[in-house]
Amino acid sequence: MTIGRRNPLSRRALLRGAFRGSALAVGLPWLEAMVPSALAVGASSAYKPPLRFGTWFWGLGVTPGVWTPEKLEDGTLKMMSESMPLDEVKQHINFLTGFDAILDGKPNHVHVSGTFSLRSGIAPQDFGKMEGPTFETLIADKLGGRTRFKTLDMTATGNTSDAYSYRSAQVRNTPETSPLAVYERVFAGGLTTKTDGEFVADPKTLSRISVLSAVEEQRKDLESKLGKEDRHRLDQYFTSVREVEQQLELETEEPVIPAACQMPDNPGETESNYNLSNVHKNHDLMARLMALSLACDQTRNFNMVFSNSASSLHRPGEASSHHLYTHEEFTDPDEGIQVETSKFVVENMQAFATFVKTLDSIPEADGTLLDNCLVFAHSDTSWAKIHAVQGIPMMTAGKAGGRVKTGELIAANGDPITRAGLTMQQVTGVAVETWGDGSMATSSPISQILT
Amino acid sequence: MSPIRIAAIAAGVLAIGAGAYFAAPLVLSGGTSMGADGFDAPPPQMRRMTGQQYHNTIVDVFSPEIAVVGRFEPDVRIDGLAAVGSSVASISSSGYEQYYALAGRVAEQVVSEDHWSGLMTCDTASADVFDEACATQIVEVYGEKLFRRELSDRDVEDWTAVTKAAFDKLDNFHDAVGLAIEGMLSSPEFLFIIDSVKEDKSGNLELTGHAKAARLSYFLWNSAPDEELLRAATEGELDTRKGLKAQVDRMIASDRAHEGVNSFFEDFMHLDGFDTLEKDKLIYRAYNRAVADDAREQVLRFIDYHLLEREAPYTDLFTAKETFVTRPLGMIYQLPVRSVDGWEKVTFEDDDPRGGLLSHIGFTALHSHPGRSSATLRGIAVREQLLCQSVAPAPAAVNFTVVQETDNPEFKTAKARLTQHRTDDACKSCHEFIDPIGLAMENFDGAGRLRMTENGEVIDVSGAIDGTEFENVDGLGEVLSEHPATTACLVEKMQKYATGRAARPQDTAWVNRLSSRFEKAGYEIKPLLREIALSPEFYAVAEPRVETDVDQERASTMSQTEKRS
Repeated sequence: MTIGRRNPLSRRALLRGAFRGSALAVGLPWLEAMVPSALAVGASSAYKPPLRFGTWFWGLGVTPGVWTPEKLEDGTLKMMSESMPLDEVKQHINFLTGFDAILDGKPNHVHVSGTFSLRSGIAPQDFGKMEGPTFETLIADKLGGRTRFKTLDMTATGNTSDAYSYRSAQVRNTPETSPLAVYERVFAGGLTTKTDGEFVADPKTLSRISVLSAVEEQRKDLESKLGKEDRHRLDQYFTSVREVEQQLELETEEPVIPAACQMPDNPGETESNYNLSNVHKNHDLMARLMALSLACDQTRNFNMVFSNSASSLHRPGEASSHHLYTHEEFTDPDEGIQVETSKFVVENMQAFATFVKTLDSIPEADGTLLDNCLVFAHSDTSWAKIHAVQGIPMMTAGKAGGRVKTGELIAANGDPITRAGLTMQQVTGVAVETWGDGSMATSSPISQILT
Repeated sequence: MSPIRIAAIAAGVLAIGAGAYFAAPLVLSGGTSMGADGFDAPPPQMRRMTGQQYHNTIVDVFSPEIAVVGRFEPDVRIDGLAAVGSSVASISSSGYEQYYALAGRVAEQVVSEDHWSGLMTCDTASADVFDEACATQIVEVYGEKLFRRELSDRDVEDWTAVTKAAFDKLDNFHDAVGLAIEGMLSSPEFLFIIDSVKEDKSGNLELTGHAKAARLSYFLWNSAPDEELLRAATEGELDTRKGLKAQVDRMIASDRAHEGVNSFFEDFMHLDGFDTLEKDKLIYRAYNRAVADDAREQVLRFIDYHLLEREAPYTDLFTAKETFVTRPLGMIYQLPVRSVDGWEKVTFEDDDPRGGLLSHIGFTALHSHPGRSSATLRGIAVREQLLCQSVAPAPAAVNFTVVQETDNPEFKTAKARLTQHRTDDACKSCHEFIDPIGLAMENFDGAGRLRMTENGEVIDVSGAIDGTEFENVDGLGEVLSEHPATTACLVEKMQKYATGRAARPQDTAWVNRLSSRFEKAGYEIKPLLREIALSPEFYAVAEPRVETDVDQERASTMSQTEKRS
């Protein structure tokens, strides 16, 4: 009915008041009891789940030597101390190691160059300036045309700046910073199905579509006044308008709710900050909401951030944070690693394991939601202690609807990191043969993980 | 090749992709009717409205009773200012979804029974009848205010038609008007402050009166132009020196100037950092949301009192001993505050380290880690924010072996720890540039509370900055108040804030002129605001790129050369 502009109270008010008892059928918030029985249990064979793609980000990399799993003779992966939390989901994961961000003489902007090179294929010249769209937005354009949200972005840190998905240098996708906000936007805000009787579109939605068309008609007049940069910004603005218009158009059609869709509980208010326990709590709630958003086909693309690059995660009562530890902690002479720093890596991996398990917990068609997902996880740096951008740790999870194998360990030897972005685009059907700038230009996908 | 020529060719290449050939004119015209001749003027601007500007605009255009609740796109900082970032930021899809929802909530309130009669000058006889005259009147009144320009007849017809179309589906006049207002609030002309331009008598481009009014009001008030300013714009008064002066003086004298100055300093001091500033509760028990909110406001009250009320020189901010506290702040300042719910003025003794800007929680806690203070973050903040100097980012591949091989890892004070850090050559020059400043503030812990010792050792807060020695934070404040970069930086930042432009070499002469007038005015803030608002450069615009033929192949080659270099 609406796209999250009302709270539940005013929705009731609308039902009582705005339609003045007319015979219009009105979409109501979706409830489990309202799933049409034909779409519920037993209908799985009729439903072909779509492919979903998303990214999962953690900051400050890993410790060399204690994260990369070892491949045993029987082909199974033996986890190391920092990858141990992934042991129970390792059959769903590929580990991609040894891929480098190649900067071609451009500066290594610490905590920035690695991520930007990996995501946009271009090493940034200026600090913090992404020089092109990041690849997952190109995938979202490919996969996300027919869902309410082209993509959902979330950060478990509570800080809207912790986001690494860019449409362009001027447009960074803004993440949701609390589970409650996600819940209200996706579920309470207007996930609807038909009620008894024939589906009739809300006249207000129809009006809104025509009003937005009027907004779009201003485009030509405005463009003639602007310089090239601003015309470009205006283009992006109108792309955003068009996406909201598409959301409204979807609301005028009878919704199809997949069988795997369940209504989550309201997560309630949570505390959002860099305190590790709060970040875990928010992440775990968000993971569940994200999984259900995918299962309910409200989106097919996502970006999840667990910790920021230059991770500010900290444990209650400790003066140092993850970032400070990477800089200032002494290497333990017995362990050969920064012990406290390493504990934070383990926490990050624990969160990723939870994310993967959550996707895997939702049955879909003949398998689970995870089988139809491709999750691409990575960090900003490899060894944060020296801010290295060589061998940035990356993983994939899920089988992408059978397009990708799992349980693999890929050890490249300084190959351009853009091979990962190229692979993700090709797996998801983006027509791109060569991707990346300068020495990072590549036309070679990571074929070992492809079926 | 000159930068202009390269830009022209680059523009051409970009436009070729769009199916048209563009190039810059060889000479960028900079003349305006107000005498900024010779000034190399920038093209018309399009600035994304900030969250605060949105809020203020809704309140001023409609009513303070209209609630603005929602999330805004995060600011983009360029050259240290969100105001500059607003000229390059666009709006993402999820951002637009939020703006659109916000527009719906605002419009719904505006046309509600509670507000209609107070906000609309007309009504229909019955809600199920469409009154075209009334719809037209509403479009005319709110269109001009929301789009910050005069509407053409066609604009009025179009938006009235939108209202009628909505009415045909909804059968309710108020709801239909609500949707039209929602549409205006969702429009690029509302969400971006876009310059409208016209040609002057000599054929040069200039801002329309309305665009000048918008520039002025968002600079001086951080909000939409009021009725009087729109009237002056319509009647051409802003095109004359006398008319402009009258408006600028009126605006600076108005109470709303406080909002404008506040928002400049919010941006200048990055006070939005308090939105996400968290402290470890186990380490800093006295710090909480109430402290954060009050700490942010404290800085603004402190600045407001000294710069607007007392009309003191800007440099006084570094040494002034009077500030304002609330009960939550009293917990950090360790001061008894009598009033339960309000602000009290306090004056610190001359020998108290607390007082000046650098001792405020709004500075010390903001530039610290969640669990400890940070001489480095504070030092960088002083260098970059207050002195406009650049600090190189930390180098990659730092060698920490020296720190690690030290026999005793227990450096008790920050100074001891940082001294070790500075033994590394890669870190040395930068840390010598920033640390002495930050170390002078070590008497304030990560939440801004005063302390004289750290881990049982007395904190040494003496140091030197740019060759001048000081004893403590008071001394540092004095050095900064006399440092030439302090006042030059304020001028530079305010010029950028006002224009929303990154630094351009072409602005140097103007900024120098502003600096010298600022000095003559005894570093008072109001004359500086006035000087900028009356500068012809503030309003100067040049033609955007004009269409012309360009040699496609050559342009493409040149563009690649430029990209490689």
